[in-house]
Amino acid sequence: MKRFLASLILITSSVLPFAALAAGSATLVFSQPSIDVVAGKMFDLSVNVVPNGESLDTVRAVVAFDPAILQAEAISLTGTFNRNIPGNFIDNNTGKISWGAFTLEGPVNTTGAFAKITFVGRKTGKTTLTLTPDSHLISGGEEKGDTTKFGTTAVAVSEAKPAEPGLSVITVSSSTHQEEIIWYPKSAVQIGWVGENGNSEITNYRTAFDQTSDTDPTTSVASSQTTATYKDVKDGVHYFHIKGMQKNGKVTQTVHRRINVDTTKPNPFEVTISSEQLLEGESLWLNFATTDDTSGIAQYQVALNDSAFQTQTSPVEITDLKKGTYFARVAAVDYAGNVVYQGKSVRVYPQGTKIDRPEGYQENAEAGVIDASVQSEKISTTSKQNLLITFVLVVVVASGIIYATKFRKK
Amino acid sequence: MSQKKYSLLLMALAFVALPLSAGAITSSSFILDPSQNVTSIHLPMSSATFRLDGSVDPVVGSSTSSSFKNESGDAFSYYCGDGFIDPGESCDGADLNSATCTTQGFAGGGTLTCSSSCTYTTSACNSGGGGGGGGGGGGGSSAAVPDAPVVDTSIKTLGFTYSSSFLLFGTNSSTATSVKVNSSSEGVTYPTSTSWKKTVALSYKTNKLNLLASNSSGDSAATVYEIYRRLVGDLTQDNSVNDYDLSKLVKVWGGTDRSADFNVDGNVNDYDFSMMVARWGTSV
Repeated sequence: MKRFLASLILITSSVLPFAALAAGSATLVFSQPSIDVVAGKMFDLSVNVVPNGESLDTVRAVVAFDPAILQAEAISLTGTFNRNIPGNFIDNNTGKISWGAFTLEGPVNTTGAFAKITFVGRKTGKTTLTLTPDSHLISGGEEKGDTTKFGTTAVAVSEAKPAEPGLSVITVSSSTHQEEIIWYPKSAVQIGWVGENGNSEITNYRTAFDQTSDTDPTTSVASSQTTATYKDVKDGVHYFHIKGMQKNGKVTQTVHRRINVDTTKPNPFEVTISSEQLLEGESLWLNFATTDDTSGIAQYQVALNDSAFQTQTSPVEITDLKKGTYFARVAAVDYAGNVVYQGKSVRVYPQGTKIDRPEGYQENAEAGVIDASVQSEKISTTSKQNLLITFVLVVVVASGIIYATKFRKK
Repeated sequence: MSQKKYSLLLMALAFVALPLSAGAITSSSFILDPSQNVTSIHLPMSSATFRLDGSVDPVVGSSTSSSFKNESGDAFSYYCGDGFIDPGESCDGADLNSATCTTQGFAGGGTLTCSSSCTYTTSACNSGGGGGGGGGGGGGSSAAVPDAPVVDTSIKTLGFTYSSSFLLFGTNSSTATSVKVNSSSEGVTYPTSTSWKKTVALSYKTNKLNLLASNSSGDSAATVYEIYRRLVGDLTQDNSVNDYDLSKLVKVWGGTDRSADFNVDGNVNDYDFSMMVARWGTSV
């Protein structure tokens, strides 16, 4: 047994350093080691890329957090890695963010910001934000990350102080960007506000407009002014900040109003079809996808010839095609309503027509693979949901039994 | 419906649709301009999030651009010269179905064109290669077993493809009467007396194709041609599409590297990225 253990240790110690060497030396860190925040308030945290001599082209940061204490509100790319990768998500149920991006501006070998995450404190407590080992730092298809050096940030959420009685209250609205959570394809932002005086009137305001969620505004604005306009606002998440300076020297609570701007179409894309030549009775499969670097892809819509567009998910199967030539059009729509189109034509021949196909030709073989992948993902998601429901049920039943047992003893 | 009511309805429709039909549908990759040859009226296509104004319905005819072909109308029939390669046609107009002089068995290259009957015209192709020296003298009464078929150098070291079908071609000795691919000579055609070709269907991962040349004396030694069919997007050839494949795509972005040129348009760009995205997370 001793010999076996010794061999195991020897093998492990000889293999581990090689594994580390193979991975590389680049790492991911947070911009701050610790953060204190009041419940209900937002804060920003940047994820920085530290190449440590590596030349990187693709990065994925996977962040884990306690969803009972924090909620991720938004994430935006802030550095050279400026194009989104598919598969990005924020999951406030499990407390996980997975966000990837790449750059076409040449390999990155200097330390810099990757993405900014905006969190809000949900309830009081302490948690640690971690960059998990399934994050990636890649160069030319090879992993270059050193997972042992990924950073963490300690977050303490404290109880919110009750609002001071008698303070004035400011309400902010936007006629151009009406809802905070919706993306708008408008780069001109119109803001309006109303100051409800408390026991002391507001003599002037302090405002700011930037891309930080918790800025303390400093630009002085007269109390008679109730609107602000910002033109040529670039794509991304922006915030209007305002606070009122009262005659009695006190300051109102600062209001942070989020504005989402996306004026750019999704990236161009290609539609692939199962075959350009089909026989009547065979299905036409369309396969398509693209990315959007600001608001994300909301949906795809498909039309055949002059039919109306319908919302669809790739891959799309079209059946019952009669003899003729068809032009399939696909529209990719982002969350701001920006659209990019692509199309492909296909011919359908009467049954019995001899189409030149190689021996062993499999109709829709690739579409089948992709469809199977999509279905397994759906099943996997459903299984996870079922597992969660089962777990909750077990906990409830077990609690009931324990409670009933204790009650009987009494 | 009375004639008067019908006319009024038609006029109303015309008022609604005609101003729209003058507008063009545009995108970064194509323009559909319905102002040309529009003879029928269609209402605009719309949805809750966007609207396409216009009508695209030439009665007979086709619209083409660098990225698409569209033929519509009720009266069309498939004919040589319509720009589409239909059954029985090798080519049509400028569309040579990716064939070249080389794929037609002319090692010296040249310019392949399409005839008015939709067959290849090889008069501008060069047989090339130069003379091979004198022949080996007269043979006996029966031909010897032929040499093994040779796969063309342009595809010999390809290694991989993203396509489900693949044009395999090469040369064979003049003594061969047929070439067999995986024991079958079905579908093998002979552009010249010393060349052969066959389009084969490929399955994912490694495909091994056994090639034999035959004559009345028997089969030649085998030539084994191996090609790997990758899932589109799988640059690392690990049979799945993920971050690592994207990183390799980024490395050759803007170039012509065929390992990332999934749509085979000679450029590695957003369109190839899109094809990768469409298969993201897929495995074979």
